[in-house]
Amino acid sequence: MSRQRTMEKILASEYVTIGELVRLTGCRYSTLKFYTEEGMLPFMQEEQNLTRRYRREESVERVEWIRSKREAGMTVPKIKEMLNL
Amino acid sequence: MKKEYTLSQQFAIISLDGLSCTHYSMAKSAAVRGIAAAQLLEEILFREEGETAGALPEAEEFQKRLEKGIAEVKKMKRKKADALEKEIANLLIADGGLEIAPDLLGCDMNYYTAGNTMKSYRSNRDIYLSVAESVQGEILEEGPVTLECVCLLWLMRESGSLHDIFSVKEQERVQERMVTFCAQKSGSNLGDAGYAGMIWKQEFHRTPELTAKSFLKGKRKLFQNPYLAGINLLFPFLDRRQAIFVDFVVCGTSVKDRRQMMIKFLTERGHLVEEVKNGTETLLLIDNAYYRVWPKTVSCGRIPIQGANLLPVYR
Repeated sequence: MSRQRTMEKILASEYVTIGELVRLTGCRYSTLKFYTEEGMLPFMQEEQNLTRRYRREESVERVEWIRSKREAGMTVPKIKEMLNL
Repeated sequence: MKKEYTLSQQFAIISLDGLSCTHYSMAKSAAVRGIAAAQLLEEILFREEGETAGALPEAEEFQKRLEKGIAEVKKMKRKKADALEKEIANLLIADGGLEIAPDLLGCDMNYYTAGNTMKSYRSNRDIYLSVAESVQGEILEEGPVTLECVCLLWLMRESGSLHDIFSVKEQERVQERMVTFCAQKSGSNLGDAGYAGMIWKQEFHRTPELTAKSFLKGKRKLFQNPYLAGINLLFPFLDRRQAIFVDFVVCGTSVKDRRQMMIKFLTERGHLVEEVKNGTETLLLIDNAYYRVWPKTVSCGRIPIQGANLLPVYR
């Protein structure tokens, strides 16, 4: 029976879904979706109707990094500039 | 490491949040029956960690057990419901997932001037967000949906708390995704989609609530729904939050002054208040719900009383 993955399993896997990234970072779904759409959060998607998968370690680090910049008062366009986007 | 919560605990964190812990209400009754239904699903579907698909009940047996269990949930007596509420609330309070906090309604001028002290449940903000947002992330995104997520959505739908988590547009997407997901059932293999379809069809409202919902459906025609606009409600809605009026004397007359005054007033009374920018306006995130501050003057006899209204804002 399919259940949401436990934190232990999530922490052991290379890729995570956006819902799992929410649980890992404590960030809102809408925020992560926005970062994804802006290209600030890279993901993999095999086909258009399949789940977007994020590299766990890199994504958590990236979210933390964006969060620190936002807390420092930096705007999203400025952060995108820093990411060469 | 973050704690893993069971289905009923996750649902309790969402549904009990903001509800009075001392008084009976229709919303609380629906929430407690939701908790009982969640425990039923735990018993049938999620009994053991790592249970294999082969050990699951067959379609007919599952349907029978589900219907029988739901019928019992519907008939649950008040005494049993109270005991269940206390049991799950105490467990979550001991765990830090839930706490007893002052009820926002107690901040209304008519209540606090009468000396009424009211208490309500308040979910831990991080845990509340983690549960709510991961469900959003799963159902609103493309890709497979877990049965646990479907169960949570069903429980929220039946207890009228779906509106706390999803916007109107998102609710349409939820409906669309659920229809597609449940239609994936293939051949004799029941699978997650088959179970999801059977669960999604079930209802555990009670007649008085149906009446309340019919009343709200009537209100809808008058353009009076939680969104204060002419939006059709896709899922049942139960009033879980109220607008309140707070009186205060403001030296300045700007909106910001009144908002700051409101924040100070609520913080002093034990609420967690945060300003949240929403486009051009600023909302208040009070405990786990959003409110709009609306300057207002009410009259007591011939005496005008200045203050502001707090109006619930839905997503």
